[in-house]
Amino acid sequence: MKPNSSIYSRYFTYIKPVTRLPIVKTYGSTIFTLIIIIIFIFFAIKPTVETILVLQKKLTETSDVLDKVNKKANDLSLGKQNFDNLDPTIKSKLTQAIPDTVTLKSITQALEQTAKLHEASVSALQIQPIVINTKSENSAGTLAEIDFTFNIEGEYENLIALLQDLKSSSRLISIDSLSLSKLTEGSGLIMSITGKGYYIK
Amino acid sequence: MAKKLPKLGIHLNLLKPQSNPEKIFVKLVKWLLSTGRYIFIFVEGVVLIAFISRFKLDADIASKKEAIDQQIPYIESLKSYEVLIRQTQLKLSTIDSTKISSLNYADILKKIANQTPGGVKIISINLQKKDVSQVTIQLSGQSQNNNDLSIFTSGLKQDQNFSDVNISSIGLEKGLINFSINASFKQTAGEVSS
Repeated sequence: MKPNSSIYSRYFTYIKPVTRLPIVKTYGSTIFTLIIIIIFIFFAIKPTVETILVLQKKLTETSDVLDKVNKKANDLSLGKQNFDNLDPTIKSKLTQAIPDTVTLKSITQALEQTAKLHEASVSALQIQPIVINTKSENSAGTLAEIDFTFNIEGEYENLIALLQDLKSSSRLISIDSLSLSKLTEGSGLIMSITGKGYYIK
Repeated sequence: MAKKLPKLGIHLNLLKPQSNPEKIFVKLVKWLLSTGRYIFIFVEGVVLIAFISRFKLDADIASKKEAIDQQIPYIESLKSYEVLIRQTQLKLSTIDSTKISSLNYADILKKIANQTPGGVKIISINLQKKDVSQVTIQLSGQSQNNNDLSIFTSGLKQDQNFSDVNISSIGLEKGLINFSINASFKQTAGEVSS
């Protein structure tokens, strides 16, 4: 009587375990070592190095911020000292030249007084419309312009002297255009000045 | 005395059973005790260094943040001064640029007057600022004769400050020559600052 295994042997095949394959036997430990190294690189070393790099970047940024803050503090301290040492008359002149508000009165006064000083009569003074916004206390503000047209009548020499005086006016005035023509009556001239004054908005 | 033979470098473990392969667990333990040991030590070393350096970096960041926080109230207390200083700087720079770019119109008129001969009468003159140092001039006048007008225009052309001098219109009315001249005037750096 034949044993069952020999009867059914043709229906079976022997599968050799993978671990017994010659290639696995020879290079198994090397492959395993490489796999372990890759796993460690991806799951242990990479996140650790990334964290360190992030922290180093953060430290550099914080150092930059600290340097800037220190510089700002020093600059402000020096600025305050210089500002306090500034002559009050210079501060006053600066405010007169470019006031912190529109102050139309000072423009009209400067123009009228200069005309009066040089015996010229003001025939027209037109100030272009301006939009006045609420000023923020904590901002340095921006420079705004007030456009005007100023017409005066007078003798040639007086008008030339008036032009010279406007350059040294207490309120900063810039002249964009000028026209000079003879009056229809009399010997005088009429001068039309288009210019602008400034203020801090 | 017998000669010493060189040793052969073959290490053959004849006791290792070749027929009965080791179990995976045993192989793993052996690997852990040989190659794996160095890998683990290296990784642990890296992790430990990172752990220690993280403490140091965290401490450094915290100290820097503390220093920043200490400076902020001081800077905020000087906010009003900062606004004043910035406004003063803006005013000073505006005054400086305006003074530099302001043209001496009186000087331009004087220069035109110097070139005007007795027989030429200027009726009107327009000066329009073009840029920092340049003005476009449009003037109209009357001349008693052609010679005076010619002297006037050539005088303007000869002056280095004037350029593009050209007569835009000319006509005769009641024995007088009516003319219009367009020109450009460029002020030199010295003249602008004066």
